[in-house]
Amino acid sequence: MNSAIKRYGIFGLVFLGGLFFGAGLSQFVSHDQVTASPEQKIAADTQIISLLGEEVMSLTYHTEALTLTAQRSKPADPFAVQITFADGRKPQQCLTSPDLAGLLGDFSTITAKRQIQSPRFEAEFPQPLGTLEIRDRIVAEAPPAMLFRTTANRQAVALSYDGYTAEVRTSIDGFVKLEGGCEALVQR
Amino acid sequence: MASAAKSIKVNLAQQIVQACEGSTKVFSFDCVTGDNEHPTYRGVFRVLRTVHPYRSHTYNVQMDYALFFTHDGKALHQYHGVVPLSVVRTARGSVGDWFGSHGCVRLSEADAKVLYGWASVGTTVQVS
Repeated sequence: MNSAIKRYGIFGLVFLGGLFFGAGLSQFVSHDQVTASPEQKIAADTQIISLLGEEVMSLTYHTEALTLTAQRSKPADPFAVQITFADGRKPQQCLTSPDLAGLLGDFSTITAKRQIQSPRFEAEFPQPLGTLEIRDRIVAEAPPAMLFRTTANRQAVALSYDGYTAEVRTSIDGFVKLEGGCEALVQR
Repeated sequence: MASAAKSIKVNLAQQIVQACEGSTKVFSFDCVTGDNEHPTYRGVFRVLRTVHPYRSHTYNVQMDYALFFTHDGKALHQYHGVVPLSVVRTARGSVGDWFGSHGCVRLSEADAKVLYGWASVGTTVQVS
């Protein structure tokens, strides 16, 4: 009896050990272990993000002065735009084209000019622009929110997201147009 | 003359990814696809979004050189695990497909980088 219990006990332990080893090994190889390493990740001319324009369903641009939301219910439809102002100005609403008055391409594909080390982001680009959040139909993995800044002379633009920072080829003109509200977005 | 249409072909049985321009194969890469519980869907898709560098907020894992091709977030991307991709791929083929991914198509860093530079949003992705 005792030897039977011992034998079954050993088998049980071996079984449990194998189970835990297998589960551990599975976790080890199934999940990507390495954490983000923001250093030396973004080469010049890398497309940091690119979204299929027709799949973009909403875009929110938030600055100290305003919050602009452009959204649509179906791919490739016109965007309904709503803008609220921090200074209490009357909110604006308008309908703009499916390419967001020509801006969708500028904001749905963002290309790196050079990577910036995070501590240099605010020093080299002292003027805040705003935060851009774009949503497409991949709801399970939303694109990262992107914080944009510009240089003192407003000639260059940089972004930061998830700990990564880079100067980008995006022109400041698009941000200026967004800040122009419905008047700028409805006219082409 | 217009350039030939680009397409990415994922062969689940062989665990390879081929990049084609028209009928010409330009790249072929080893890959690791989904396990039984999280299969990589068969079908014809398009690249909907590309992001690099990228960290998945859903799984809290790194997914650099990500080419998303399904609306539930499946992507071709760099494998960041500690065990080499070749070992995982071999284990998936010989031991069991529980060594697979959560439905994404994992590539080595070098291959993911090449594919990311070659493809663009709208590129066809065929999984069979």
